Amino acid sequence: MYSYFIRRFLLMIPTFIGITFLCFTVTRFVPGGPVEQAVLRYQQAMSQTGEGGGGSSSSQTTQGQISEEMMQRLKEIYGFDKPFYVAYIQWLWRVCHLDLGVSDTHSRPVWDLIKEKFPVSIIFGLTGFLLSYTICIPLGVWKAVKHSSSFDTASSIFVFIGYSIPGWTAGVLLLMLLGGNAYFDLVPLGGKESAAIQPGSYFSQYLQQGGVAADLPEAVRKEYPKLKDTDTINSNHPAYQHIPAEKRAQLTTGKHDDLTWFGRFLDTAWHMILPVFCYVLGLFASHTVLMKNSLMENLGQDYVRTAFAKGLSENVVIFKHALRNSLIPIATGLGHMLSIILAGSYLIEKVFNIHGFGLLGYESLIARDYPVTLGILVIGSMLKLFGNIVSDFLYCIIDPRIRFS
Amino acid sequence: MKETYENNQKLINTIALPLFWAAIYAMFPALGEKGINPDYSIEAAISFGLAIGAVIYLLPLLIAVLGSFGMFFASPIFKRRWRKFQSLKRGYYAFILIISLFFLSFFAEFLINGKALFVKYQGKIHFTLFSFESARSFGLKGYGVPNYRMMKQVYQTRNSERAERLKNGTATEEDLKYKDWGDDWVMLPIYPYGPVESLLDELPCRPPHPPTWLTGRWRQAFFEESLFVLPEKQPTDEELKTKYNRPDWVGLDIAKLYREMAVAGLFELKPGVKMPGTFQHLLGTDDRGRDVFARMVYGFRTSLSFALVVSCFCYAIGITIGALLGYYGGTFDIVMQRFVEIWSAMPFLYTVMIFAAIMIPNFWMLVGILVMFKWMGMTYYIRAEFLREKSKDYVAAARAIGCTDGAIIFRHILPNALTPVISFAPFAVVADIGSLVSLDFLGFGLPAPTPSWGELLGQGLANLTKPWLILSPTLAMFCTLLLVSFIGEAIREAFDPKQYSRLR
Repeated sequence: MYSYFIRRFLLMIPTFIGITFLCFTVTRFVPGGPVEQAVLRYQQAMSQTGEGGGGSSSSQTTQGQISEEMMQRLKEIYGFDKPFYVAYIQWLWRVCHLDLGVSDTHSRPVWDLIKEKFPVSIIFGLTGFLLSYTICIPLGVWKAVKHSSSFDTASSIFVFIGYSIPGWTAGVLLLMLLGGNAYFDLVPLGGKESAAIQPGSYFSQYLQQGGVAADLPEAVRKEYPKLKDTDTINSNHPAYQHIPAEKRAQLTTGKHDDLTWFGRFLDTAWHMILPVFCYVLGLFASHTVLMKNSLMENLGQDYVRTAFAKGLSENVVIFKHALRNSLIPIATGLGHMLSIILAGSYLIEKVFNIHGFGLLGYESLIARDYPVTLGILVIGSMLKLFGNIVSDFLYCIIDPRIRFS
Repeated sequence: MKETYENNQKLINTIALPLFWAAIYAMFPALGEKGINPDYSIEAAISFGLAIGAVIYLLPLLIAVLGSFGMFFASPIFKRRWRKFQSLKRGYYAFILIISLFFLSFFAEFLINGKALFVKYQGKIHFTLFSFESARSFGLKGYGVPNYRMMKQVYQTRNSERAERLKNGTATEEDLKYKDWGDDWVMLPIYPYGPVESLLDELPCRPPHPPTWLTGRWRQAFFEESLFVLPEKQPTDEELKTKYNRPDWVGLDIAKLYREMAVAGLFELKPGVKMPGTFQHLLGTDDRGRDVFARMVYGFRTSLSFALVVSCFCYAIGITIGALLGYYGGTFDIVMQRFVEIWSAMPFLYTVMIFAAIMIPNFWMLVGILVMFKWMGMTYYIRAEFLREKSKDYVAAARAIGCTDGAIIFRHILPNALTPVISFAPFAVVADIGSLVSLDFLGFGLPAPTPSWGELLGQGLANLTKPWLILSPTLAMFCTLLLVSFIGEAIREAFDPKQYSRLR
């Protein structure tokens, strides 16, 4: 069995190379890449300054023309000066050293960007994923136990709805209904936390004590050069203790950071309601049906018949014998958790404007920021490959009958 | 394979030759004029080879696969299952409904279109639906496509003026000719708005416009001060309470107050401004002033055709490869299975997004991209079916009487292995519609003016105060997918019945 997993790990390498090579080649050969975009920006800038100058110099290059060496320089900057296979090998070499390059649009290492955005997606996606398990498993079990009862038929309606409405579509619909633009004002319009809390909003009562930066003593002010006079600082800020006691007051406006921990928790939860609901809806139908069918299949097996014949009660047979076995396909799905979450994040984060992994990938595609695009592809495919192995591994652990060879 | 070719030699050759030349001309449009560009001679040679291979190998394959589908559909088992399917009312009616809607949508041009069906001008009847006619040839100004809705009105006024002149005896020479010609007329489709034409010059205010059958608050979007004759001075609080009997208007700022008053119908329209009629735009217009209902209908056709085409291609590839894997086994099976495994480890949505974003595809390119990353699903099932069927007696018997491999695969085994294909098809269609809508929503789908649901959802997300932009595509998609999954459920029930035996 260990040799099986070793082989699986070795197989990851060609898979990974195949995926990245395909996408890398596409980014190379299709027009409209970063070099062309840079030339376009340059030409636009030139034509604007040219209009201002009024056709003064004749020695300069003609408008919109880019000299050969400048083109060469641009290609070097974006790494387009070498043939694509050389560039690919160099890129792969750097990826092996965990260097994903520098983003063209953010001017920051891609790795830093991904590290910053990844937890956001994971928090939203994981909550949704786990919630969908806690809803779907009991529901599926109950549907299987009460097969073809009125409860089964009624809940099947919800399963059909789940099949027919993709989670993110429901997100757009609910955002319209509940987001305060057309009907009810119950949920925020998006983002992961409140940018500004006005007096009278849901969370203004959870604001901390704080003061204005202008009230700080001069000596302390110098330590924090970034603070402007009008900035408020809350009691978490290291400089807060230097504010004279009589100037401290309950804040009336502020940001997410100015809330107490309970307020911050509530604020985050408030922003998570709809996106998490969308994740759950996206997984709801398939998980429920999987659970139900799996349990139904086990209930028809001989060992269940034997258990009944021994005189065990229905509860014991179902929950102790059949349920354990029918959880196997559901449990192995946990291996794919991360890649399922990421697949959902491209759409849901776009709908709710959550600045996470998926939105980063989307924006990098719009801006033709290929280092980020490829970086996200690398992380995404690695997670998917590991997910495959983990789910196989879970299979082995849970179900001792299965032997890979 | 060879046998299939020999059986259908004439048919294959007649189809293959034109296809072959069509493929070559499609790949090298310059061929007809200049010959193959020497810079691309290697690529040309490769494409040439591929084209030949495609024609010689794929065509018999296609015929063979279609043949096995034919045998599958003709088998008594299929007929029995089909009767079972018909008895499952929900799925059967959903099937009938969606098939007839899809069929009807191919005649959408005759029902929902901005162009006229027929125009009678100066005694001649023109069929204008698919041809380009300039406005000048119908007695209007300009060389562009005429606005047929306007033309209808112009013709009506002209006809009545002409009748007037004939009555008064001041008829011109042309008027007299019309005695023989008869009146001009324009025959418009039932719903005379096209999916891609912008109606900005016909509608007041800025788009998106709300559905015209809705009244009251929904019409607020129509209010723009420049459209109405405003009162000379703002009504005082006293007036609001007594004259208009609306104490709740007291204290509103002037813009809001005028809006409320306009919605309540207290203002006259300025001369020349025409509000749309009550049932003119059933679902309103989108943010470029295009009719949403027309776009929904055409979007239905696009989505469903797209999903069907993608599923067909995926199945064709998946079935063939799965069949070969299952039948031949051995090293080929192992190598190919590893390849399928590698290919399915791609993060599907993101890879498709990358390809679509970079290539900016048209309909068939998008089909190609999706098929490229989606064909693997079916291979597993077909392979498993083949592994099971291969060991049965009838296969051994077929081999004993000297059938070729091709005949065994396509004549004998495949018709028996198609059950999973049929029972998964509706769910594949659901998934493909979902993919297309997602890609369109993200802006990586079909190119810009193509009517699509996803694009409308994207507009809706940008205009959250305009519910018709979100409700229309969501409901259309929901209904379509619901019907298709009803079909899927019924087919699964009829074709793949899992008899759950239980003691209690």
